[in-house]
Amino acid sequence: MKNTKKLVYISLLIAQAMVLNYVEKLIPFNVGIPGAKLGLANIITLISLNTLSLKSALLIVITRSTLSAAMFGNVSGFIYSLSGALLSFAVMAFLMKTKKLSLMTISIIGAIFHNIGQLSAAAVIIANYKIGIFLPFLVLIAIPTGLFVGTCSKGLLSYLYRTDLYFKEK
Amino acid sequence: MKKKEIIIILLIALIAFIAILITNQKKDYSAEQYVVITIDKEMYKKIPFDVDTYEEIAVHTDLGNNTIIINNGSVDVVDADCPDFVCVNTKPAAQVGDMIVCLPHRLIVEISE
Repeated sequence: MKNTKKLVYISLLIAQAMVLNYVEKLIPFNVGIPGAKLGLANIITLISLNTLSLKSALLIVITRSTLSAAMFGNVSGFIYSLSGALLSFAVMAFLMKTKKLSLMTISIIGAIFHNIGQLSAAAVIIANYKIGIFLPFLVLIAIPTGLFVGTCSKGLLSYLYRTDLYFKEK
Repeated sequence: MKKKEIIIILLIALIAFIAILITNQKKDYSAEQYVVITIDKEMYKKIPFDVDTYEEIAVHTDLGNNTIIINNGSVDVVDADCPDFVCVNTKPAAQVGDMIVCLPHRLIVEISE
């Protein structure tokens, strides 16, 4: 019974992440810097890292990236976003384990590493390492957006903790 | 958020800001300048570039189309059929080192010596 519940919860999170990806595309946020975005789907990653096991959280990240790319994106965009998503997931999972930082800081650092992962993948694909000059701009954008995403996740989690939707091994 | 965390974040912002200042420094280039267009790792076009250069370049590849205009000492991507429009929204490139990137089309427009 508990397994079914977990399965439904994971599916719901993936669906929500995809909706957030779509909503994000509707919000005009184009500043002429490749890779700059709000990163609303990171709310779901932060929530899954807090309420699910590492394995299930990773499954959510990979599935939502793949499905979003299949529905609203293209192949090269998928490579960039998956590299960013995986790197930022690894860093955020590690920071969450150390339990020293607040969710907002973890979210900001995760956003910065998402940009680093994305730009590195892009640099390899187009074989031009000079696109690194965009990184400082992306870092400056990542701070307010990461703060926003972290605050949203914190608010959501305070409600989720009152439910029994918690599948993390003690 | 603790005080320590806020300091860390402000420090990161400061480093990013300094990096932007360093990369944006205006330099004097007397040497000849070129507009280099690269598509999918291969050089597509190299055009000598100065204030009087006027050229309209329509790039058509399997990956997509971009229209680039060189005019009044700056280079701008004015149109594209990519999904994100980042290249069109990027401010025109005017100095050596400036670049406009269209990641979906693997297109780079940069000014080099």
